[in-house]
Amino acid sequence: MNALATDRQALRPLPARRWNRATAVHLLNRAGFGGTDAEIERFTELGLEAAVHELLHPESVSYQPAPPSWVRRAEQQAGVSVGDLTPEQRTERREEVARRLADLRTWWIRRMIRSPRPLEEKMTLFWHSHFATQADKVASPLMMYRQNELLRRHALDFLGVIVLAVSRDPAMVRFLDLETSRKGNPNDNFARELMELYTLGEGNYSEQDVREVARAFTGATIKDEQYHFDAAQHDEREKTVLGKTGPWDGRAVIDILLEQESASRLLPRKIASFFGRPDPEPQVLAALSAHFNEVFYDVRELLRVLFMSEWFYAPETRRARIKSPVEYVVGAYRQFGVTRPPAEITALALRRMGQELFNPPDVDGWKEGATWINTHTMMMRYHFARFFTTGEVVQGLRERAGEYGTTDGAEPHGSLVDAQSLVDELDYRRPELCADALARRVYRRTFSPEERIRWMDFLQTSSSGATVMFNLNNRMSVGRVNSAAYLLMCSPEYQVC
Amino acid sequence: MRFKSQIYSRREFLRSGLLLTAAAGTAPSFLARTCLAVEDSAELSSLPGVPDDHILVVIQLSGGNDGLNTIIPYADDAYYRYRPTLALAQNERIRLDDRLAVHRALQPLQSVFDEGELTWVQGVGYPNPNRSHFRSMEIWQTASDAREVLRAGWIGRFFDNTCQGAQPPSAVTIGREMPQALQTQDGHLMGIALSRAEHFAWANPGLTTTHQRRQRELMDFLNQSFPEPADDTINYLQRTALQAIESSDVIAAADRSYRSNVDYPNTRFGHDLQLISKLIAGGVRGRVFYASIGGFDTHANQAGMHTRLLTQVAEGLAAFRRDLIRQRQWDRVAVLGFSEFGRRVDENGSQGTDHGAAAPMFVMGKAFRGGLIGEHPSLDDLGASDLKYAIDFRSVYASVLEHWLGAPHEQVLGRSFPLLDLLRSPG
Repeated sequence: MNALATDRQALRPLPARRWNRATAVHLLNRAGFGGTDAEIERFTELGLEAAVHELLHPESVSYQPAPPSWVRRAEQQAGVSVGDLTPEQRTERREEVARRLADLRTWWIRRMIRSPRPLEEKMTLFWHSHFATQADKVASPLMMYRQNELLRRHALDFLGVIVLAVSRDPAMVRFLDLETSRKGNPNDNFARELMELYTLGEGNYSEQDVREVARAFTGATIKDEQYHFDAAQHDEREKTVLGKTGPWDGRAVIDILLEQESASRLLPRKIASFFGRPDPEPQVLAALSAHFNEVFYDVRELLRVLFMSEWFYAPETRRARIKSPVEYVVGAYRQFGVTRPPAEITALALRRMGQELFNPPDVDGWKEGATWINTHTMMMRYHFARFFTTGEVVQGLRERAGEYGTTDGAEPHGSLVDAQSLVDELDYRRPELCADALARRVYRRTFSPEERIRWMDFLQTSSSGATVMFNLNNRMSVGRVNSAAYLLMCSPEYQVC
Repeated sequence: MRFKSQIYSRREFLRSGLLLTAAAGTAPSFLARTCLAVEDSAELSSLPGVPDDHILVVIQLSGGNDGLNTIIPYADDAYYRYRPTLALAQNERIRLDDRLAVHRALQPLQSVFDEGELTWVQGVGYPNPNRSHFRSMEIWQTASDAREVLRAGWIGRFFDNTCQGAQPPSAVTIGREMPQALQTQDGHLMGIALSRAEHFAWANPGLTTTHQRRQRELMDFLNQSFPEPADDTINYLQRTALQAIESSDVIAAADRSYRSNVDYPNTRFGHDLQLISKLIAGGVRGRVFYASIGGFDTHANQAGMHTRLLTQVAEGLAAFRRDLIRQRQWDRVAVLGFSEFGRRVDENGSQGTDHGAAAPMFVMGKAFRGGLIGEHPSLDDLGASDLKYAIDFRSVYASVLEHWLGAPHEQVLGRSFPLLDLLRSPG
């Protein structure tokens, strides 16, 4: 465990004795997609250091899911140019691309639900936004899949390694027009975003630097859906980047960029606001940057210091994060043990909530925080909650025919809540225990006495307003439980974690 | 744990952008006092002579529209030298006069231009142009100088400065994300966002059964109180929830009452404009509507993409105008189009263009004089290889604010900008 210098008080570690169930819940919410009951138990028992260590070392947890079923066939097809196909084949190919992309989304969602390595998936999602790449433009599900695996492989790696790997990732090369950027005629799309978004931040380089960096990254091409360096297209002449002159190539430029002071600040800020609070205090950011610098931009070590810190578990950090659509949806599935989510509705809901996987809206990814929430996206969360708790698919979650999902797994009808599983069968007539169970399951806390009374009242009032007996053997009572779960999932508290 | 009820002050809730029509349905009692808005109630505007029912529709072209291939200086040899493959040939453009033409994709708007209801403002930009999407868009949305960072948007500040009266009108964003332009001084985003009327219907709109009423009561409860301490985030969530639920009925009513036989193009942008038309025709009290169309960041293989996008814009706006004319609403609507920057004069090695600077804006509406305003930027006098601006975009904002929305532009924009002669008969 890295020792912290005494002037890093802003990030002093949480004392071990302050670790408890609530901190375990919080850590699993942020480092993953919310813990199941069993995971929360286990993490509570592990204690702070061991829990953080397990999250940071996914390789120590065994997990080997298969790639999407179409990947093997797609690898065989790589290299068949679209130009070689008949118009009919081209249409077929387009439809196949759409199907595969939809399947890729479902595959990733399932992985986020099931993976025993939550931080690995959460960081993959983080990098996916950081190195935003749009499937619509890349037009190759195989390349998008490989980029996803690349981000996962390097999820907790050194920033230099990650950036270099991404600069040679075919999906990125296509997306930011590196493949048409040639010696004598570069375009500066990738160069600009490399500096502005991935490493330094706007204002820390000049327009001239952008053009020089663009020259350094010429030579990248894609052949048979793989990266291929074409020396003939590479501008090998001298460039001056941020004051340094030499015959730089991409790798050399990345080294220069990561020497800049601004590079020690950009990623820590993003990490602190993604995992911690939207607006971290300057002293916290300064401490994180200093540490990041010390560990040669090792992302794993940056996260260790963050997840061990008192700041991370402070009251102001808890419940400060508005869940992204993926966190909202995956979190709900995890809480209720849904491991085979309905593919099409999930994809549609996420898209309408503003987070379509593999299609971030912009080169700067998803903006997080309050931007997730407006009247439109809020309504979409309500529609999803309604579907989740009652099975009803309202207009807002309907799509025209032509949407592709996975072929396996029938769409369920009915609630995903399974009210009868909330309490022991002996307690089916105890609305207060049912209310308690809902609070534990949905809010991960206990109701106050006032809340409990209100919800018990709701569970025992019929649709005509009369007070009725509560009995989970009875369809009407189950319906009321589902209704209560719906309202809880719509509530402001459920939107944050 | 104890609850602390947080009933919004009437003024605070109103400012959050509740949209009401004369036929507003049920509402919680604490809002009952505000539900009496009638569309044509007399309200004083800040400047005399400017009716209060004027609507501004802002169209954002996201990514950086290539102005040089939108309004083309076809008589200038330099144009062809800079753009060996991208220069538009004669059959790819529509002649405006003996020096300038427009991209042929704008054909659907040509009659609008000829009738004098479409104005192109040329050479628009700002000093020290920024070529980052994110930063330049922020500058346009907040109307800041290039070197300052402002949080509040220009339209948000318009609402800050001019919303008076009991039932202030609001803003509607079509889409899944609200623009910073609508951010007010106190950090809120003005109005509501929705993407399709039929997706905005809350599953539980009516109060037909006791159970549904109980659900609604609990929703209100959950969104009006919170176990202490509630913070800005929770407040924001609650306020948005209440807005969404309240607006849902209003939007549904406008959707039901809409009648039109105008054919809109079957594109997302076309649908977005039709939705705006629905809401305007339905009497929804939006003063500003905001829509966007993306894809203009044409770094490679620009020709086809740019043509497709301009076609979508032109077809969409032409249908929008036709529809509003039929609805007898066109007189009160002005459309303002912009992009965060233009593109470089010379094409790059990928048959595309990189981020540039100055570019044209457009204003559409019956009240405007139409035609071309300003000069096309010179291809011989560039600034760091980019087109130089001559008209500050804030002059365009200022002119729209003063002449169309009746707002004192200095207060909204922070200082004075030269006004443009935009109106057909100067106001």
